[in-house]
Amino acid sequence: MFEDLVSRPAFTVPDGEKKPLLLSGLTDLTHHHYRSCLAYRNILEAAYGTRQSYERIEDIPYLPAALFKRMELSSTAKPILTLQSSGTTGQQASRIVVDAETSERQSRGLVSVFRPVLGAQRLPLLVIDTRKVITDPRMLTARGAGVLGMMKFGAKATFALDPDLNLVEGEVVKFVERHAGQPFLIFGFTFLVWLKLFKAFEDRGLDLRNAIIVHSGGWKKMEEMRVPNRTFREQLNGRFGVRHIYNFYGFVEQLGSIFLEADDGLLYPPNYTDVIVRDPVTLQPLPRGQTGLLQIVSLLPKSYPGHSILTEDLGIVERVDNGPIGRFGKGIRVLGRLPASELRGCSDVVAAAA
Amino acid sequence: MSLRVYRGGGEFDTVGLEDLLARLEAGRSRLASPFAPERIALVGELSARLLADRRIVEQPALAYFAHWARRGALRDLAARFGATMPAGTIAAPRGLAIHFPPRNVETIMLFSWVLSYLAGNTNVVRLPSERGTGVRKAIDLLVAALREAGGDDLLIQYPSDGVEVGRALSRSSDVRLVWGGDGKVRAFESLPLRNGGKSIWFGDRYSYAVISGQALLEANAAAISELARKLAVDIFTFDQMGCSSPHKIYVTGSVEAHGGAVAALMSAVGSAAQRRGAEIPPSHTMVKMTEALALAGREPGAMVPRLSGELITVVFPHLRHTEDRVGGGFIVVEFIMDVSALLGRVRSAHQTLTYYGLPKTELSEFARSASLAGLSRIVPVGQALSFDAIWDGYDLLRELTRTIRVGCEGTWP
Repeated sequence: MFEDLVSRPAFTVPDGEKKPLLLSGLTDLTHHHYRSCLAYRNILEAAYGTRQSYERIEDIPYLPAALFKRMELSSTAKPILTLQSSGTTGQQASRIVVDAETSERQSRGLVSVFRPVLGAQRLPLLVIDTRKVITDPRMLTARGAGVLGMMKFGAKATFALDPDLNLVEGEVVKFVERHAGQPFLIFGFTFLVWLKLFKAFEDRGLDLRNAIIVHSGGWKKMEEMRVPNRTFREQLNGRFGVRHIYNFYGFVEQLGSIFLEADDGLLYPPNYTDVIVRDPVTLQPLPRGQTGLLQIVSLLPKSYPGHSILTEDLGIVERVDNGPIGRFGKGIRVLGRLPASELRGCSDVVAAAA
Repeated sequence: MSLRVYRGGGEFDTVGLEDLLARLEAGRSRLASPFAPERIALVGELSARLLADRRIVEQPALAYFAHWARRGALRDLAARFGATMPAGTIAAPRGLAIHFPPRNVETIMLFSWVLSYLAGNTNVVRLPSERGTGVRKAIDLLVAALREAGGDDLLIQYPSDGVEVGRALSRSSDVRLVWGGDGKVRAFESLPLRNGGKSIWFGDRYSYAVISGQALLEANAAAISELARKLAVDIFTFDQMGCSSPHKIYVTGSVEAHGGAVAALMSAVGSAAQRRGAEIPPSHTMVKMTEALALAGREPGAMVPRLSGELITVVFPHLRHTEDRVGGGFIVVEFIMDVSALLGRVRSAHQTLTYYGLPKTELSEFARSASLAGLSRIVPVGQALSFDAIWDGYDLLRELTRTIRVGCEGTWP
């Protein structure tokens, strides 16, 4: 099923046609992980019961994304690498087990998503990050995985930041001058693109008329700086002349199943991926237009039971199948993370605090 | 660094450390006898004012305190205290008492102060940095009553890096009550008291319940719903993070025979919590779901009947070794043959065991053996959070007073 959907042109499968295909593929994956991952089997038997078939995608069992921080869940006998979420300091990182097959599926998935906006040719790539994030490919952070993924679309990557995340201005200027007059690709986490690239050249400007900027993540920091997506786009366009800017939504537990920003400002999933919005309190599925927790289902993950994951991100399905702009499937907006809470307690966390 | 004395109404006066110590020293020379009538009257009046305030009474933990501190209840407390004095002795206060209440279980502060005040001590209480509206109101009433009575007790606040203040206050104090877990105990352990005075420590504790499977089967609908209500009180007060909040329920019997009754009970507890208005934030529901599935994933044989709602339960058919502690409405149920199966599991950090439906003889036999290893409270379900002058293994009034021999009964050869 994944094969079929990934090889069709991206974003071309209408929601109604997609649903039965996903249901069948997700059911197979649920059985596959049940057979291959003992912990997943235990969980299904404890919380969901075991079933031969499911009536709706909404009935497919899901795991909370945070579970991958609490335990390693593997459905493969031949892991080749473990992906790690960047994880805020003090928090445990997710550990995602990837084997050769799933790694290849992730690559094909990424290609299918980015081909429509980047074209078939490999473009010169400027990474707004440090080379350090990719130096140990066996223990990758989400940022490193993102960079490695994008490097497959670029010819010879140039890294714009030094290991301390300071911008090496000379590198950037040289890169832009060398590639002026032809399309090139800039990739980075949203807050790094904003804080490092935009802020450094805000006053004197930079000719990025031929640039395609792909960015993602770090919206928590953007929110703190009060820079909404629209401002980000307008400023990059206004100061540097950037015409092509693509935000995407993805997380390490669903690498390769990313939602890409379209001209209508919404994020669309690839053909083999779908989204369910659930009520944060009852966890019941919500109809289109209502805000809730995002559950991402994907036919991609085979080496770990991540084909149905409940995130702590809040979002909303704004529209389904935007034919006129050639984007089929659900168009979502991501609204931020469920606010964290702290329980009280007899035991004081900071011993000296009152 | 700002050291401040609470004036009431959210207002503080900044004071110098030397001034504060001088005021406390003066207060230390004006102690009262234990259960002095004017002190009983002041606390009783505070209780009456709290009970007269609807908004206060609507908050279970504060309502419990107000009820506990009624004038009549205090007289009973005094009578019980007097009755336990050995012949030929009288009680006297220790002197200056310093209280370090926990940051979040707010009413502890009130109990800690009341007991020491009734014991006749002069008190200085470090106010928790966060206080709910109900507790703020209670503290304001307390401060006003003290001012009217010309009392010396002070409520103070200082920043969390104020180790020197903690050291100076400890050096001036005759007795110190440290609430808030092992970390906090360690932070104060090295600070000596006046003349090697008395420290009363409240470290990290773990608590659980035991329910008779047979009693569940025999109980009628009304009894089950009352049991569910009491469990909800025990579990959801202070977000299940009090030292005596149960995290586990051991059920005597088996999944086969009693699993259905337990499932019905836990679902009733969830409903009771909902009726009580246990407001569990959605992000904590995600934490509970994650922890439940992590437990289930690691150990086969678990059952997780629900992934959302006030109460998330993980049921195991057997006894396990781990002390699960998630909080905010998370219970692990484990089936055991009978209560004696727990004997080998009791640890010194275990505090409260709540029980339902256990035969009296079985229970007292268990208490005798188990108390050698740990546990300081064995009380019926519904009473987990019922604070009392006997707490965590201490008879607090006894700890807060000195016992004076008057007259001599010994014979010298």
